[in-house]
Amino acid sequence: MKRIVFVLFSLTICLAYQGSSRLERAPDTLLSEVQRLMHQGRYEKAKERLKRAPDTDPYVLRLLLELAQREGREGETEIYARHLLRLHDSGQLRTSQEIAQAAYAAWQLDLWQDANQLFMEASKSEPISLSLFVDWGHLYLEKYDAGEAESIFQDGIKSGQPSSGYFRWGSDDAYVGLAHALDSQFKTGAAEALAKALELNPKNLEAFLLKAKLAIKEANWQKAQDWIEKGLKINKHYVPLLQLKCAFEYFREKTEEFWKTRERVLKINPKDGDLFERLGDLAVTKRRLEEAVDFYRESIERNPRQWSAVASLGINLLRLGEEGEGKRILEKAYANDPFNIWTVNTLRLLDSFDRFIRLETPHFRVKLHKKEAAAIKPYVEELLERSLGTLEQKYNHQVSGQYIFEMYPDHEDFAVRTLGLPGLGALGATFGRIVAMDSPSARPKGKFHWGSTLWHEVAHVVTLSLSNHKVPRWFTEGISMMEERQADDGWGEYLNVGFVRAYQKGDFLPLSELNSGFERPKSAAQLAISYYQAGWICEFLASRYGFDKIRSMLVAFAEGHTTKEVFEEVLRASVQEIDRQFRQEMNRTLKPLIRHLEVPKDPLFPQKLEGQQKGQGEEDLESVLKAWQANPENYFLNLRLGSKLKAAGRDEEAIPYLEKALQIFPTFSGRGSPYELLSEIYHKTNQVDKALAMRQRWWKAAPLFTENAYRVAALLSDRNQPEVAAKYLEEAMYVDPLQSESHEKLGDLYLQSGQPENAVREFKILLDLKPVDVAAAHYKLAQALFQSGNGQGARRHVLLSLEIAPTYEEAQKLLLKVVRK
Amino acid sequence: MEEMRANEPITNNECSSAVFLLYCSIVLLLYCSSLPALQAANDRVCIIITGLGGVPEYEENFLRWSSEMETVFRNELNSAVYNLDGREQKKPDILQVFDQVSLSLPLDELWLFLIGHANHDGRHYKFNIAGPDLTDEEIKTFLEALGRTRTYIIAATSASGILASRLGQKNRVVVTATRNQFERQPPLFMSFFVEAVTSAEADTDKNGKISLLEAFLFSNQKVDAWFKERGRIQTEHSLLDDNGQARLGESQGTLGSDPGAHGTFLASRAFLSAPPEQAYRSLEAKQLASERVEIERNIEDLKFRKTQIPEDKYYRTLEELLVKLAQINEKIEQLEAGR
Repeated sequence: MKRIVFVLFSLTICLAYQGSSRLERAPDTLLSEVQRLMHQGRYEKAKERLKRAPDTDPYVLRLLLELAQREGREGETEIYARHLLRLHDSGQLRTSQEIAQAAYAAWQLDLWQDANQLFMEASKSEPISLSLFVDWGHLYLEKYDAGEAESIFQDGIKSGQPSSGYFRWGSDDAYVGLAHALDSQFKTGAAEALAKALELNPKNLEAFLLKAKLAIKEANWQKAQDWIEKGLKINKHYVPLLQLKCAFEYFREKTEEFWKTRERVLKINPKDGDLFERLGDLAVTKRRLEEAVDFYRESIERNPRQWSAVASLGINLLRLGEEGEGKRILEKAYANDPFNIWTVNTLRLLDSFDRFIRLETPHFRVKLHKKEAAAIKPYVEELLERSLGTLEQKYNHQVSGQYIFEMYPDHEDFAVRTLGLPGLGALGATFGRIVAMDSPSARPKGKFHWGSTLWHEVAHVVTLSLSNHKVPRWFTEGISMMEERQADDGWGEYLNVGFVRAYQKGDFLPLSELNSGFERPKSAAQLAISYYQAGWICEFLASRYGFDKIRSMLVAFAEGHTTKEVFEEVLRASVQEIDRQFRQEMNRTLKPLIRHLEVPKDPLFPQKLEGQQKGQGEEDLESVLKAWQANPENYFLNLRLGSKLKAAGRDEEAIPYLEKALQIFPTFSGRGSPYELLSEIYHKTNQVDKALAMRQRWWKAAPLFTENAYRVAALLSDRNQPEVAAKYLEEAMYVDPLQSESHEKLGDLYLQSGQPENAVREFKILLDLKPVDVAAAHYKLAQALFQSGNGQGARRHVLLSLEIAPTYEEAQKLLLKVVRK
Repeated sequence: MEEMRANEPITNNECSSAVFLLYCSIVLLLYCSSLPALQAANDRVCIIITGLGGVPEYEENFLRWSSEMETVFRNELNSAVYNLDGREQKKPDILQVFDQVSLSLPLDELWLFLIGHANHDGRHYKFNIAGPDLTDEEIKTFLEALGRTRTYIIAATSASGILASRLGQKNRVVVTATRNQFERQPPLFMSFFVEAVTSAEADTDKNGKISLLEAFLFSNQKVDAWFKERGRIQTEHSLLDDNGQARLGESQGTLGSDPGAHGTFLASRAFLSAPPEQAYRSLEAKQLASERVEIERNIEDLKFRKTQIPEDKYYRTLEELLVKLAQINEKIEQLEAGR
């Protein structure tokens, strides 16, 4: 026994000694050759070459690990990874590049924190290799920190490629990583970084892969196919490209090819969870969530450690309304991958759902925040069903099942629900079975028409359903923009100076590229222009080719046709031809406006003129008049002169100029517009009828400024037109439904105009809003209930009123009426 | 002797006399804005102290609010009013008024308004006036000297929340514009309080008078709405400490669900406006009016016992009483209309 102990002890010493000695290294030429073989897809040959290499070489181990991983040989992967970590722990990895191999190994074992520590350790030993930064950057990309990844790739690029010796990654790979990081953050510059990568190495397969991915995102299938084929010519066994080929074939509905490629990928690695996660991710970008969920499930089935797929499964189940299962799966994802910010944010949002009330309409399961539910509930319920009914009838298409409708008073919650991340600029979004949007209190007053946004989103419900979720983004957005405008006066977006300027600068994208204006906008302005342009194109198509064609196009998309095919089959014209026709239409409308909207070059009119429409400029009246005389048809000069005269108290003189400005460009209806200035002048000069008419016009043009609706309603009420007055207050509810005073006034108008049922609705809201005067609110509700024939209800509420205020005379009289009836 | 008289409130009884004019001049000299009450009730005194504004905008608001409250107490309620301008009148002047009021006991009611800026130095609430500030201890000493007098304190200042616990006790209502000493922004509370006094909306029990409770609830809700509407973080939360027993603030407690609870508050029986005058021409109407008072009392009594009675029975009884009340009013109306 003692002898055995002695032998073991000696062996330990011996191993320890061996551990501190220098490692046996494979020649750089061998490593470079293996890498070249791998790049060419000659993986068997590469494996053969490595058999001859010393298995204590960290680079050999790294390459063996990659090869094992590619084929899903998990046991081997783990052996190589652990071997690398042991080498590090025994102090045998000394250079930056060697330690980086241990970091890579830790990463592959899901020891992300350790991996990061090791990369940091490696980065402290000079010379630091470029390869280290590329691996490290990819670790951050995988762990959802594209911002940090971006700066790591930048550091790699700065450090430069070694002039000799073996290195796993070169500068081209750092540029590809950078492109990836930029794209993940929706930043510009990805295309340029990719171009640089390909300039450095025209055969960089990762660059081909990203190029193809971006093309698919933009629905540019041809371009995607070209990149995939180019890449596979270099390496026909390159798994990420094969995965993408498979996805390409799936979404292009090339069923036979899809199954063949799928088999090819699975033959290489039967446990390939990436393939299905990639298919799932692409299905999500195409808003085909049910398919996405199936793919994620398969991904996890093949690789249960595919934590990003687990998180995506949970998030997309939630988007399909499967709250129970979605939450359970997300919790599992969080337990195993706490870095995933989408998981964390979504779980936090789910926790906040207890602050929402839930209700149902025939077609929607609705969530409204408790603090505003009382005021908006009846309006939301009515508008949801009305908009869906109207659009279903118009598009001759019934959507199946119930949708989930959610309104968020905190915009960031809406953003998390939509993207999983805060910072989304949109007002609403429709995905899967969810329609989510900002609620009235999420945005500043006068800047958000929630009714219009709701209508826009419900239009998506119909077009996505009719097209089986295959409609390109530009077309579904265009239809929603068109439908918004047709829903009611002033709803949706109208021509503004910004759009005219964009037209002048040639910023309207060609129709063939319009989708990129949504998927990959270069700026917020381009996104806004793309929305407007898409809406206009849809209106143009409907008027030139007939509305039926819009519907037929959606059906054709549902059948899997490309935009090119849809245009040719349904409109009998190419995309380019339609683009040409649309541009003619644009020219016809906008060209005549341009000369009216020129900013005068006179130095007295600085650049700020355009934005300064309130008459606050420094220039004197004489100068403005002089400029106007030289250009009396100019919109800005008319507006400027009118506002200057108004400011000088010369109201009557200001009117013709402001009227002229209004005539030239009636769709500018914001603050400081001729509508506002003329309304003020007519009011001030006691021209009540004209003031009323101008406020009515302004409200119809821009139903955002509720004070117009309130004033018009008050004037009409004074003129004993309660029914018309009520219409204005009803419309104002789609902007600001949270004012108890407007519900009270609307209720009064309904009572005056013999609409007691509607009055009941308003007074119920009033009570829910907890007014100061609760007795009066109960009394009014009792009165409305009594008039609508609900004696029991009236009796209850008049009692509640008198309980608070027993001496309330009107309520006493109503009580007597109720009990005597 | 002259100095002593100068600190007394001026009554309407003296209004017509020449002596009064002289008196007035002296008072105006000493207390710039201490204006005479037309008909001072012997049993109610109102002291309004306006603090330093700091900037013209605040100063203007503080003075306006003080002046409006003075008008209410002087003209509507016929109270004796001391309106002390903290820009001119320093601590000794104010303490002298306190002494004088405490010497004029017995009083039924004392109303004390503090309108301005204040702070809390970690130990004491300090109301900002010219010279040394007026402290919570000095106010407390004064209030303690008032014995059984019902006291209503409206501290419309920053950091005033601390007064609710420092001064709250039986027979006293303390209204503060903030919930504690840490809310330091100049509060809006008083602007809505002034509005409440003349607003029909604030008269939630429809009895034609605005109680301190109604004015508080109105102002509290309006402040809340003001911040919500503008999407700003609310920097003030008013409080009402009633009788040292009940505290109203952000949550209105049982008030919403139990209207009978209103009547239990001392603040519900303190009024900021006079009841409407009612004179009946017929004897029968006068008799009915006294019958009405009896029913109103029964209703209040029923409401007070609401939680002890089964709901069905409560509302049945309430309806019976209310119908009776309504019928009486209908009858009175018919009689008065000459039918």
